[in-house]
Amino acid sequence: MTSVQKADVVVVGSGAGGAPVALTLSEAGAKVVVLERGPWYSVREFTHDEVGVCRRDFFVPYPYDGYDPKTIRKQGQKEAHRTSEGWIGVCVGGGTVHMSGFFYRFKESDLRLKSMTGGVKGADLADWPLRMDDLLPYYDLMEARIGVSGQAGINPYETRKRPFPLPPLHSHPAAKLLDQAAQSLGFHSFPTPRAILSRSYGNRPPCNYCGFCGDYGCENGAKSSTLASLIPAAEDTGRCLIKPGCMARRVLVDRDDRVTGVEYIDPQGEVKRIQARVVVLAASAIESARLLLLSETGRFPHGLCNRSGLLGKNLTFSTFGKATAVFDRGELEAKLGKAGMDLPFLLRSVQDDYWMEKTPLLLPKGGTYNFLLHHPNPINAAIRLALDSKWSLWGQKLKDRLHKYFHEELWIEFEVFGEFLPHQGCYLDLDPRVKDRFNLPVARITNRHHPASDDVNRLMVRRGMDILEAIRPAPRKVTPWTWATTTYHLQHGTCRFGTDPAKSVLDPCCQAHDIKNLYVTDGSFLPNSGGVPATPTILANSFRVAHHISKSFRRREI
Amino acid sequence: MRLNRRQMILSLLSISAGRLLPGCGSGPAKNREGASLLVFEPDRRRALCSAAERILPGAVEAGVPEYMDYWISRQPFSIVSDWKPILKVGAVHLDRIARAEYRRAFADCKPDEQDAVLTRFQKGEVRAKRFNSSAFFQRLVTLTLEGFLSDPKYGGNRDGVGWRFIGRTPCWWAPKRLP
Repeated sequence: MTSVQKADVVVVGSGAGGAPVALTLSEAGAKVVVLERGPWYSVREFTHDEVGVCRRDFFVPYPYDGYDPKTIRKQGQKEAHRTSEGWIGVCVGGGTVHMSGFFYRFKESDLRLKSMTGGVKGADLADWPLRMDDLLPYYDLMEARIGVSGQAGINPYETRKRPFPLPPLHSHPAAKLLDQAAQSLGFHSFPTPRAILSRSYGNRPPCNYCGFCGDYGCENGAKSSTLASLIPAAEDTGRCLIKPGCMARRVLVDRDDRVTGVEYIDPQGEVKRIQARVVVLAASAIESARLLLLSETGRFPHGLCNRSGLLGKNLTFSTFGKATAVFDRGELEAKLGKAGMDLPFLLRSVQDDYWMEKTPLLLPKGGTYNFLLHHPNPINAAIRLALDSKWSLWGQKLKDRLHKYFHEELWIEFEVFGEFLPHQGCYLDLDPRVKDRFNLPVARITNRHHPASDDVNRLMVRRGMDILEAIRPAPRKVTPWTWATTTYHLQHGTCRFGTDPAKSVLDPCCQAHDIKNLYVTDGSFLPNSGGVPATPTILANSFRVAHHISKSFRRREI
Repeated sequence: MRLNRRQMILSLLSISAGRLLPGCGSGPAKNREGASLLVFEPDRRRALCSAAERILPGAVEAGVPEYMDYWISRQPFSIVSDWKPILKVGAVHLDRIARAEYRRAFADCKPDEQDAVLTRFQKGEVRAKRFNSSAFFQRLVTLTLEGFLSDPKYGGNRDGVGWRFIGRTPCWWAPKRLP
């Protein structure tokens, strides 16, 4: 039994891709309904319960029967197994709720990867059908609307003409030492931009420096998730209805290849339909593509909007690397003093290896070094110590080691965000056997790294370690933690955009080539992952697309 | 007595409220008659508690056994419930090896004897059908550390002893001196 509701616009997903559209169009006068599969938390509900939030199923479902698994097969495996990898936070605000909020803009080499490299053997590269100048004003708009803090004019590689809307957060005093080390090796460190308020902004208070940003919701509202910033503003227009617990299961179209609405499952498990003139999918690159595959019809037997055959293809993640330097707190305090030694943020990044002109490597595109302090999670840190010893550290020795870590050591680390080349071996489709609790085929991820992405990543981890080793006073130990691995919640590419319908799923305004008034505004549109986390770019692009849709409404083209 | 004292300490510590969980902070889960629902049979539980105590001295006092009970018995299903079979089998093997070497149950062995037995598990040297002894050991270490440092509402980190040991608490607001 279905009942019919109507809206001007239905948005599927309320995170980085969905919220800017919902806000812009409801401000412009449209009646907007947002379907969000997950629950709607109030920021004040968020806690620092490490087990409950990070080590169970708070943000991401368990992969078992009766839950919502994905399946994954890696690096040439034939069978896919159940996983919770590939999920981004399932709640109003999506991944922006649990992100750390490292907010860098894309650069020319992210938009022109194909032409600047001349192509890379085995990779399916494509330039953006946009120029950076088209996107820049929307980066500025996005930063102002959600609240991004940073310091312009220091990073020689930054893509901006205007200052940040908020000054940078306070850095741990060891940031000076990192700067000196970087400079001594010819690198240019700069303060890391964050989607975190350094001052009061609107009715939101500033950061309280608790340090529980990444993997947690911010109970303060100071982390600029869409939950804290754009969603309340959209609601305030009186024209935007957020519907949590509503899982879209099918996009509806008519015989003229025009979108007509969305079919979804409500919190009581009933199937409902909502009619709309415009539908915007923003459920994450994996889930939006899955929804389109599930929406196949007689005219689209391989999935809606898939005449190009590229739906689900060119899936990219981010190539990850990390290394750790162990410092003695006492030595650092002797040099820096005690003030600020408990501040949680280091906030230093390096982008000298974003584009490596003279490299002998196949891919001259590296990415970003993000220097930070080890995450404050105590259980995770303790398990890491046991793991580092290959589990041979236990008993009183483990207790002593824990005590030493928490009382005497400071760990400075870096994470590498590197380009993840798109290619035929990495894609998304529907699992032929496994179904979720709604009895729908789940997303199956086939993950394979292009070797050139991994080679660059390994090089970057070594170079990042050089910087750590150059810090004075010297670290006790510098060890690599991981290299050439996958950051799954940074996901893109499954509906890449472009001008040619044979080579793309979406047009340059992120409208589906094949279906009128159907847009996709999450990371699906990105032809490549970029050398930074794409979240700010997804937000900016979403504002851009929303602006375009708003003009189409005004011109009565819809 | 212990229940009242824990509730009082919890309110004094002003730990983040979180969600109200039934039966939390009162030791092992209870059935409708109020009888204790031990997740493991007494012998298995003794073996696991003794192992946890060797892995992290002070674990039992800190409530690690109650923490384990909580997550293994929790409905709906938690990822740790999945570990119940391997923990149960592991406990059986702990006693089997202890009896073979020292003619006593694991819990009745001397500390250095228990350490010798545990070392064999940690190194994956205990061979048995459908049992991975190093995986068992790693899960036990993981649960012990979780039990020591988690929010006391789950039954472990009794009175915040784990957080006091490491010198920090993940309270929702911690004043810092800003430069």
